[in-house]
Amino acid sequence: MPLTTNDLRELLGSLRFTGPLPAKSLNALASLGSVRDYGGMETVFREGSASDATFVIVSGQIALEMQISGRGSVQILSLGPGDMLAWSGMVGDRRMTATAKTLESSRLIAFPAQKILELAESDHEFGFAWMRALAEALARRLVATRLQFLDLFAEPSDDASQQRGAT
Amino acid sequence: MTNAPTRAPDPQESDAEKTDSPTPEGHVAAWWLPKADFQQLIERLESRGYEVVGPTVDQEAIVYDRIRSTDDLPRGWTDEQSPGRYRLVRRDDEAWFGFVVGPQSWKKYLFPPVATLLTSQRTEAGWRMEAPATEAPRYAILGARACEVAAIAVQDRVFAGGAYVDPLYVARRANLFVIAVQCTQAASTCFCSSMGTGPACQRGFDLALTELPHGFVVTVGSPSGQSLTEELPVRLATAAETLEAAERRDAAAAQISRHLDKHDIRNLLLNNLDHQRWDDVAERCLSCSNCTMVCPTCFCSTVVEVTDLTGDQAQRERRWDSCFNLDLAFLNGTPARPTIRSRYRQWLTHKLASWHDQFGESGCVGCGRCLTWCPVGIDLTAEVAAIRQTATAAEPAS
Amino acid sequence: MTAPSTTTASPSQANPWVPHLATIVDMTPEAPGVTTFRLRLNDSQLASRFCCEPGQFNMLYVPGFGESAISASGPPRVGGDLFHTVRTAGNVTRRLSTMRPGDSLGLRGPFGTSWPIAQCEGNDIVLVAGGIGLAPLRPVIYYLMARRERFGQCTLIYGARAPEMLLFRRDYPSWREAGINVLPTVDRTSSGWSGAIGVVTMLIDRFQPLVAPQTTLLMCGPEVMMKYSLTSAARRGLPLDRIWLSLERNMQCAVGLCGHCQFGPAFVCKNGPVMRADLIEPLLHVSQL
Repeated sequence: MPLTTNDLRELLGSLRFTGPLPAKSLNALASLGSVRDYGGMETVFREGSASDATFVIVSGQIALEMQISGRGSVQILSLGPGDMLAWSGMVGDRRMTATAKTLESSRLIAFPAQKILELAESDHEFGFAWMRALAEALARRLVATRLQFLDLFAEPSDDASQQRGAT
Repeated sequence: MTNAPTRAPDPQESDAEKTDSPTPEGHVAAWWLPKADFQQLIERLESRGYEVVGPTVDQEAIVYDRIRSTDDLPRGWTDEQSPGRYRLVRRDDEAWFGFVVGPQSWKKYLFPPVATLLTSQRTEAGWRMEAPATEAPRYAILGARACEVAAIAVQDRVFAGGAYVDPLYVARRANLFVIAVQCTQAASTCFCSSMGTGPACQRGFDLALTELPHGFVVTVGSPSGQSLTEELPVRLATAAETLEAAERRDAAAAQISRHLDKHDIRNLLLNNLDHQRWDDVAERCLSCSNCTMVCPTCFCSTVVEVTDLTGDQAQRERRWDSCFNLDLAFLNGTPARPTIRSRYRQWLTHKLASWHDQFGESGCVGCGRCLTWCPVGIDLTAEVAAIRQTATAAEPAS
Repeated sequence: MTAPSTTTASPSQANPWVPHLATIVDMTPEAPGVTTFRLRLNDSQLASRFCCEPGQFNMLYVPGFGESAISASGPPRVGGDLFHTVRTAGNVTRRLSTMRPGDSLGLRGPFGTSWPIAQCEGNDIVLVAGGIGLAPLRPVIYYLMARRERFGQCTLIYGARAPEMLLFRRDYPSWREAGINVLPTVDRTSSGWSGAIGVVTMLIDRFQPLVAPQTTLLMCGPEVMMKYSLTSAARRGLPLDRIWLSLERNMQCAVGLCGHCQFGPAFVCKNGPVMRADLIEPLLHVSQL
């Protein structure tokens, strides 16, 4: 069921990633965005492919995978409602850095990368608001990735000198 | 039990006017005990089952040990102290208590360096676990300074003043007889007056003595103290004796040259946990833990499991520990304070700031031992002053 | 700093150094290196009135090896058996893991402050746990399930290293059935896992609906995880005085006398381990406090 631009605008206003954007920006995004529905276990985009869209997740769960030779496909992160997906549409090499697959039926809003970038170039107010939202989302994801990397729940080793305070 | 000696005749027979006037201390009666009769004090205490402990000279310092006779006291010795320095020097008189404090405190008698908390024995019916049945010793401490008496009160609050009480401490504390000796001089390291703990000792003792050349002016601080004086050849002190005693005590106060500005110190320190000064002191501090060993209020301990080869018997032994020990605090198995900077900060902020949150008072009594016995002469009064100079505005820390 | 009182700890025995004797009733493996012990105090009179409140801990004593502080992890019931979920990490816990039902050990407790669950009635409650940190929160889940109608939304956000390290996984269906929304996530996935991947902060960020400020958050896990979870929760509008953490420090005497567990002015064994976030949040940012 297609959503009107107004419906889309309201939806974007309620999502975590786009919600804080100023009204004018939301209007612009609503006119550029389109709803995409996926079933479970469907591929949204593949690692290495050209990034022509950036997404925000409305519902469902998306898993990100990277292909590691010798290990195959490794799931590194999952995203959910309110999260932004495919930042490489906006920054970086414009190639997707992971494969995105739905874990369950999911609804996304897709924004054509090229159009968003053109708008950001011509309307700097929009550009700043959009990029700031992107930066903040990436900052939170960076901290989360660091916590993942720190392996906080690593099992204590048998080496007594590393765990000498353990009882 | 020997007959209690009769009291020496009061001087009122010869000087009625003097005995009618109140003593300079007010209405508290002061007694006079001649040095010639002092040995009887020791003997009377021993006959009441006390082990008398007090200052003696050993290894070029004044330390606490068993006192059997007045000969054991450091007669004619005094101590010269400054940050990182302690020397015993002969006096030009034969004062018995002409010094201040040494590297030990009375805490070793109430909170012994090693104590068995529990013994476990494997039996056919399973483990039997019980507290050691030994009776607590009865100590009479002879020569406690005002700061030390204050320190005992601080440890009373730690070990016996909260929801959990240490029965080992309580038993020894209940058996303790305190003979305070009023300071008649101060070391350069003393700052008791800043902490409100001295130099005059006004409470917390059974008897308090002020030394004059030929004897002691004795004040009673408790019913135990009172009953002991009744067994001693004391007489009422004369007004002249009590006046001279007061003057000698005042001399101690006048000699104090070091001060700690403790205005709002709790907030000052807890609001400045990232102050540059912690880095400065960390470059000097060796983390040797001397300060915590000599401090009369430090109470950190560790409990170790001691077992024999059969594994059928085990004991839990409590030993003194120190926050300067890397192994004291752990977070998830690794040391929580791996740097000297963090450990020194922990010690000082606990002693002068957090202690207020925990026990409603300062943990420091101004005895100055930590200055004297620090190998590099760190002076906490100077550290606090340095932080105060460039501190972040002190609002109440959470 | 005075923490509001949630203490239900009592001077358990006249001599706080002497343990009670307890027997292992059974042992349940939960994950590699993690076992839940079911203990029963030998003194049945004492057992009948003993209660370890959610959040509290006992010192488990293995003669010849030492003591270990272990939180209660079972249903909080006066007179019930005592459940302790133990992760093998050092000498004592390693020895514990080799013991068997019928073996006896010593127990001192209960110690510490408890989770302020009763105060949360009528509101939503979110539990955030990491790794072994779910164990001290499991008694809360039992409490909530037994009085489900008194609370609003109940959610558990739980992160572990990998799917096989998720504790109490076999309980999740019954928890969900009882109205607890269980949201597990893992740092690294393994085959067969189709749930969330990533740390708990990501789940806190996207958790809906979050009705601040009435919602209470209870947290237990590695300190770094809790620090950033606090940030995420604060960003969602939760005031710090509605967030409670269970702090971690090595506990030895458990009665505030040995000095080992101090965290700023607090003795974690006595003023904690459960502490309110607004009182300690600034301290969490002081390195090596």
